[in-house]
Amino acid sequence: MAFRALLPILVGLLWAHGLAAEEIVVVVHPSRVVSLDATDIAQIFLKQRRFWGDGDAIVPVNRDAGSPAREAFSRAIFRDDSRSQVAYWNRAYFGGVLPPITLASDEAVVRFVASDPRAIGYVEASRANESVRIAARLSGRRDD
Amino acid sequence: MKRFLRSAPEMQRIVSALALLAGTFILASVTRPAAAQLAPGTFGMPSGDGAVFSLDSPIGPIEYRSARGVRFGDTGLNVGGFSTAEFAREAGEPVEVALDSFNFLVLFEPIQSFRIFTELEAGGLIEYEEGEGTNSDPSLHVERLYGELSLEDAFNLRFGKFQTPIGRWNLVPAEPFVWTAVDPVVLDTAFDEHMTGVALRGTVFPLEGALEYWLYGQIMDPLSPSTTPPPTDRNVGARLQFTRSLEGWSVGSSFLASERGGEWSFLGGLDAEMHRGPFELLSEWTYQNGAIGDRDIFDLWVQGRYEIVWDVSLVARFERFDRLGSKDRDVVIGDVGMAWQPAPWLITKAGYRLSDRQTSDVRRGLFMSLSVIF
Repeated sequence: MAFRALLPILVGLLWAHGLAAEEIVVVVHPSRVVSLDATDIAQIFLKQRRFWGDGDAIVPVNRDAGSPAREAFSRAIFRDDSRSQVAYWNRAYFGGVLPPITLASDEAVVRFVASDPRAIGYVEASRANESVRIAARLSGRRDD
Repeated sequence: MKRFLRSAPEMQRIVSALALLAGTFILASVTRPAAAQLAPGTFGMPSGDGAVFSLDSPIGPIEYRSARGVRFGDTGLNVGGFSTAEFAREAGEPVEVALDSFNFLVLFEPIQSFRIFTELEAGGLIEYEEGEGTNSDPSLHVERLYGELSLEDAFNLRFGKFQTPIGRWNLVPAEPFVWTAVDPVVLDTAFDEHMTGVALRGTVFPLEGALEYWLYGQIMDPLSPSTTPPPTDRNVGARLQFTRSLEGWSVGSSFLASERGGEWSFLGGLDAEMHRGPFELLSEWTYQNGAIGDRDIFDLWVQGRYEIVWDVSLVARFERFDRLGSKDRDVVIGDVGMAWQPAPWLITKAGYRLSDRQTSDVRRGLFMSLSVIF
């Protein structure tokens, strides 16, 4: 009975959260002309795909786990929060593969990506500027 | 079960062991708030993402990230590892408690296309055996050591000692990275855990997935081979794995030809992995036959894991193991238990192994472990 009473409140909160969630954009260096879909992005951030088409190593950059951008990115690409990838990265660690580096703010991600042609990151859409190129827009949930 | 729990002293030992595990759970819970002050993560403990500490130095920041080791500035060097304490109470055997080893994972990536990786194990640290007392026989040996040249996703050339790429479990078999405190029986009976030689591997991306291939050979004498099963002299093998990460499934197949003393055995295997929300399914099928008699086996295991609440999982595995042509014949094994991973760097497991009968490969019993990744 208590659950029934709380259900409308929970639905309302989820709806409000959906409205509040800002669009996430995946950004690369301005010199890199690429268009990426969700599969490409997932493979890059899982370090399954490690090289750009021109042979340069890909340098993916994460926000800290728990940050709004990281969690929105994770939900959009992996359909779950960042915690769901812990087991994957633990296993990769055993194989000598480290997860992407993390930066503490969207501004730091933009600065990093703007300074390294190999880098790829993601930020809330309002934080992207002309120093980086937008390679994909993520709505917060994947439709495919 | 009844046969195993037949005396009060045995019950007392098991209760004591469960109390030890419960104490571990409580200890980990108590340490949560303190850890959270160091580096808040998704759920209050160091997440493996942020640096727990960082120290400026002439080579760049020296940073420790929980469960990911210490990164030494811009040198490309990262040093971490793991350790596990184990408890085993196998039927007909004395109780064993061991801090078996510290394993160090050392990665050196000086340039983007080349890396050196090694796993060094300081083993035999301390072991208590009921009736025998405490024993310590420390030793250091090389679990893995290889260099790898990576020119593109589809072309990586590895040289050295590495995990034999058969199935899924053997690629990442260490305690902190699996969900049960005891391995499938096939891991210790069918093939050499490591290869010492050369491997060509890579990944291509067809059909919105990742197709990974391995071609490898043991072209030199094995480096520090394990003794179970008795090692072979030469091997050649291949593996294919197709993964659709976004759909949460993956399938693979493995082949291995092994030679010992001029005689050959041939192994074929299929494996699969699937994730759906809190549910995970893993399975491997292995068949090996040939002139090396102790390698003739058939094995099938299926393991399910369900995360019942955050961090706590129920795990169950069914395995049918058959030493072909042996008097032991087939054994049906069931492993049931639970795992608790309150943080990426800590996992505790407890499980019970059941079987329809006991053989030289299979014993019923209680197994527990506490693992730390650093």
